Order: sequence, then structure tokens, then C-alpha cells
Amino acid sequence: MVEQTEQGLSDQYARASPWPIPLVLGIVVSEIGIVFDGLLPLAVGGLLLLAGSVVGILRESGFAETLYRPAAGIAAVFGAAGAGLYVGTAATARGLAFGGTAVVVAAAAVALFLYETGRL
Amino acid sequence: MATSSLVLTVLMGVLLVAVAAALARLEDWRSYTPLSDVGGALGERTDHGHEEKPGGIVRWFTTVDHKDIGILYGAYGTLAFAWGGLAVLLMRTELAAPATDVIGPALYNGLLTSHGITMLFLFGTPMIAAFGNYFIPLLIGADDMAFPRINAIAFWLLPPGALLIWSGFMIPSIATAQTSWTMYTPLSIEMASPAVDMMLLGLHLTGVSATMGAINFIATIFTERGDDVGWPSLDIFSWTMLTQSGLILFSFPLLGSALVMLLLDRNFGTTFFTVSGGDPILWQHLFWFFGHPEVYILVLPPMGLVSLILPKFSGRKLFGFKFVVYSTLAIGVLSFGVWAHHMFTTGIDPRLRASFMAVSLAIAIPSAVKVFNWITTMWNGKLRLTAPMLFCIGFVQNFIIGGVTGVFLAAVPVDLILHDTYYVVGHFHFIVYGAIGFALFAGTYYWFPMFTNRMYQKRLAHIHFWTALVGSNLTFLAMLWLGYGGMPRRYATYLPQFLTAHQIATAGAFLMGVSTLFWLFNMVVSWREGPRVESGDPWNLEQTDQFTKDWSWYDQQRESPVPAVPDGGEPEDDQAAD
Ligand code: HEM
Ligand SMILES: [Cu+2]
Repeated sequence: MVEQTEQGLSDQYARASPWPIPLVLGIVVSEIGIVFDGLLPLAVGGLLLLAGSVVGILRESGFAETLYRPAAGIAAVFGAAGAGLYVGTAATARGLAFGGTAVVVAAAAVALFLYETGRL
Repeated sequence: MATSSLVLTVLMGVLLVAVAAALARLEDWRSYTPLSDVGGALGERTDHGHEEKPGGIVRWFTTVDHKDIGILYGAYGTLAFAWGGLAVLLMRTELAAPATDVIGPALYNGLLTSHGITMLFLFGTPMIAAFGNYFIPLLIGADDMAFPRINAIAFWLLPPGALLIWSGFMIPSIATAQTSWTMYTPLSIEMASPAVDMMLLGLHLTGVSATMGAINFIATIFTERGDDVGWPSLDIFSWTMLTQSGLILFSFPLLGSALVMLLLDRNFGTTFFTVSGGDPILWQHLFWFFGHPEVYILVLPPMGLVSLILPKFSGRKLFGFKFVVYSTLAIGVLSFGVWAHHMFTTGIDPRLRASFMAVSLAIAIPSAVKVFNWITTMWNGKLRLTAPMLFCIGFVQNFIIGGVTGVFLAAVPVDLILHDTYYVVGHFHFIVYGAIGFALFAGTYYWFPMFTNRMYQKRLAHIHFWTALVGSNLTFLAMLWLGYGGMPRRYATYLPQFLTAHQIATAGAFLMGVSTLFWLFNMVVSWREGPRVESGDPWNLEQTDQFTKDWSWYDQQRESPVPAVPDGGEPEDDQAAD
């Protein structure tokens, strides 16, 4: 038996979680949307799904105590990826897809921040 | 264009809403009270209503229990095995006569590609993960895997991976991927079909899955062992899974990167592997730097299964346990130093060839150490020829032929003649089916009482063994013979002089197909109505002092007040008490 309060170890875990499948769908849909031409709506939707489920699973498993912090982190990562693609490569449309998703996730992070700190 | 993206956007919106609705039904949102209201994250987890699993089908879609996930992996591996097997039976039917009579070359090539990739990535690796997931936590006295959610994510990446890999067969309007499992450039760059891109994406997903699984196994074996399980008493299967996971960790990310480079070459105009501007041979180096460790990724855990099961029915402990562990580790290290033995005929520097030949010959030594240890374990033992034991012995027989032919191929002058002939096909099939397949079958019989509470039908299991053994040796010996005769691999047609050997190979293949039906029937029917197991020690392991932790878990499980449903659905014994 491992010490009860250790983070992320199995005895504290719930035996079921709804998040893995949405997370996988997010990965798959966004990969397809990004690689193939002309599927940018898939890219945006997939990235949103991915962002939502990463935030959800982190919160559920106790790796994050809030929803807004991981959301802000993901917005930053997507934003950086989008900027990199837009500026550094010819894949500007894909860069915009990342950037647009980052804006939506950032807005969600702000809303969550207000909600979770009781300001809303 | 505009309307199609509108449609896509709407579809995406519908998907997102559907997922959100499903989540809202499953997830108790109120447990996420705003931070200002609660003391801390850990306090609230006890109120969290997830002690028991949801019932019905939802349980399988939300489970993070290692036993459930093991069963999911097993079901998935069985499905993939069925597709890979049907594909190869079609191919062998075509090869029953020299001309193209049944299927054309294009379909043959598509099936060949799908068979190889399916068996290695969608059957082999997941089936091993099935055993690892179900039994490693039990063998080492852990409650679950170290990261149960990552475990579930790793599994669920596989079904979309398979759909993408098989997409060429499911979308009638596009040509199948015909690159063979090695995806050699420049062919794989120039083949126009989107099925190739989807296959690469699917492979990428399964690679991510394997890597996540490997990290999980490493973390579990390092941190979750029970108090009484120190390194010296770690069982042999866990040792091989640990080594295998290390190999995955170093090789699969490399495959992932190479796949992305290939995708970029195909779709974005980069020139990593093109003839002008890049180097097609670079692909071969990257692929085989992954590919050779991959064959050991596939063979080490089955070796562990045999090392675990064979002593149980020999009435004595594994001979030279320590040396079996050392040879596992040695194989793990050496397997990264032999990749160019797949490239002897590509015109690489002869000095490089010689050094890769030396390391390839050296890797046969730890493999032989294992073989001698298995044989010595059985020597003068009290053998009980149960189905799992028969499959272990079959493993040893097939592994010897597969290994010895590998040593021949590792010698440069021999390989220059036999490369790309059926000899190579015979060599690796003795191992991938004759050894790996056999060990996995042994595992399903050995633990059948534990995960079903019932016993399989012995007669059917023995028929399965003998037909599988005869079938595999017929087919793969005929392939070695074809190789000596100079029959090149990967062709849908051949010269009439090869007729007899090809017909023997086809007959053997169908015998293996039939043998698998015996297995499938036995598994399904005995799971539902086999005789119930009477004790927690169905193999009488206590007699020879080999009652391992997995069986004592099972024994306790049977005696716990809650009636056990050990297909993974049982409530963990009074977990809520603490
Ligand atoms: C005893 C140690 C082994 C040695 C020395 C060895 C050697 C070789 C050599 C030299 C080749 C290249 C033949 C050629 O294409 O010209 C080869 C091919 C192959 N080997 Fe082995 N091998 C060994 C064990 C294994 C094991 C354990 C596996 C499987 C788990 C395996 C699977 C394969 C496969 C899949 C190929 C064919 C790759 C392809 O071209 O599609 N080998 N082996
Ligand atoms: Cu090799």
C-alpha cells in the first residue's frame, strides 16, 4: 500500500472516468483536421474537444485543483503553436486554426477563473 | 468548398454538443464546487460518487480498472487477429496456383500490407498489453496500474488507429495502401492514395498508445510493487514487460517522428526521404532502428510468459532465473545495435556490415541461454502436459528454428543470397506465430480459470495445439524451402516450379485457420458455460511451492463475502473502509 496522500497514485483513483474517450476523440479529430487539406473545421473542433477533456481529466484526477489554470496553460500552448505555424511556415490556415482555438480556450479560462474564484 | 466546410463545421458542432451532453450525464459536475467553497481537492474526493462502476455498456466505455482494460485489449487483439488472419487466408488462396486466379496483384499487395501491420501493431502489441494490464498488478501486488486514466487513454487510441489503418478497405473509392509494413521510400512517398496518409496517421496513434502504455508499466513496476515484492523476487513476466517497455520508450517515439517526416514528404513538399534532396536509405535506417527493437518488443514478454508458465507444469522452479533475467536485459540493450542487418544488400559500407553482423550473431547468445534454461527446467521434471504447457513446449520448438534461421540471415554472405526471399518470411513467422502466438495462447489457457472462474474444454484445447503446431511447421518449413529455391517474397504470382511448396504452405495456413477456430469456440463457449473452478489453485501449484501472487489474489477473491465476478467487474474488497 502506498501512502494515501501521494498525488496521482492508484488507490485514490476512481474506478471509472468519462474523460478518456472524449480526449482520444479530440486527438484523433484534430490530427486528421490538421494533416489533411480543407478540413480546418475538424481541426478547430478537435482541438476544442482535446482542450476540454485535458482540463476535465486533470481536474478529475486531482492533478489540477482548478479548471482555469490548465485551461489557460492550454490556451498558451495552442497560441504559441499557432503563432509559430503562421509566422514560420506556409501553413497559415492551420496556424489560424490553432490561434482561433487558443482565443476560445483563453476566453473559457477567463470565465472559469471568474466562476471558480466566486466573482461571477 | 464553402458549403462543404459549412457542413463540416455543423457536424463538428453536433459532435461537440453530443460529447458534452454525454459527459454531463456521466460526470457529477457538482463535485467541482468553486474553490472558495471547499477546503481542498483531496477532501472532496471521498464524497466523489465513483466507488462503484456504472453498469452495462457504459462501464466498458468509462472504466479505468486494469482488469477491465486488460479484457478490452484482449477483445481488440482478437478482432485484429481475425482480420489479419482472414487477409492472409485470402492471400494464401491466391498462392495455391501460380497465376493470378483469385485476387489481382493490387488487392494482394493491399492485403499483404494490412496483414503485416495488423498483426504487429494491432494484434501483437495490444495482446501483450492485455496480459500485462490484467496480470502485472496482480503479480506484483499492486492495486492497479500507476496511471489508470492514461491506461484507458492508451487503449482507446487503438480503435481509431485501426479504423485509419484499415480505411483503404472500408472506403471503396480510394486505393488501399500498398507499401508493405516497412513503408520503404520512395514508393511510400509516391503512392498517391489518401489511404497511405490515413495509415500513417493510424500508425502514429497506435505508437502514441504503445508509448503511454510503456510509461505506465515502467511506473507501475517501479512504484506500485507490494511491500513484500522486492527486486529479487520480482517475477519473470514483469521483468520482461519492464524491459519491453524500456525498448518501446526508446523506439516508438522514433517511429512516430519518422512517420511524421514521411507525412510531411507526402503532403507538405519536404524532402527528407526523396531521391533528389533527401535520401531514401535514411528511411530504412530510421525504420529499422525502430523495427528491430520492435521484434524484441514483441518477443520478450511472450518469452516471459513461457518462463513463468513452463516451470509450473514441470514441477520445479525456473532453472537459472537470474540468467534468464540477465539475458532479457542483454537482449534489450543489444537489440538497438543490430538494425542494419536488414540493410545488408543496400550497398552500405562493408565495414559497417561486418560490425552489424558481429552484434547480430552476439544477440543469439542470450536467446540461446533462455532456450537452454527452458530445456533444463523440463529436464527430469515431472511434466504435466496441459494445454498451456503444450503451447510452451511448442514455443520452444518453433523458437529454435526461428532463432537458428535468424543466425544464418545475420551472416552477410548468406543474407546476400537469401535476402527478400521466402526464407526471411519463414524465419520471422516461426517466431511471430510459432513462438509469440503460441505463448499468448498458453497465457489464455493458463489464466482462463482466473478471469472466467471456469475451466476450458481440454479436448478442444489439445486439438487446437496439435493443428496449430502441424500447420505452422508445414507452412513455415515450406517457406524456408521456397527461400532456398530463390522464390522472392511479396508476389501474387510465381513460376510453376514453386507449385508444390506453395501448396503445402497454403494447406498449413488453412490448418492454422481451423486451429484458431477451435481456440475461439473454446474461449467463448467455456466462458459462458464451462464447468466452474472448484478451488483457488486449479493447477495445483501449491504442491510444488509455485503458488504465485496472482493466484493468491484469486484465492482470496473467491473467499471474499461479495460473490466474485472476476471478469473485472467485482467491487474491490472493502476499499471504502479507509
Ligand atoms: C536470434 C536472433 C535473431 C537474428 C540473428 C535475426 C536475424 C534476422 C535477419 C538478419 C533478418 C534480415 C533478413 C533479410 O531481410 O535479409 C531478419 C529479418 C526479420 N526478423 Fe529476425 N532475427 C532474430 C530474431 C528475430 C525475432 C525474435 C523476431 C521476431 C520477434 C524476428 C523477426 C524478424 C522479422 C519480422 C524480419 C523481417 C523483416 C522484414 O524484412 O520484413 N527475428 N532477422
Ligand atoms: Cu532484425
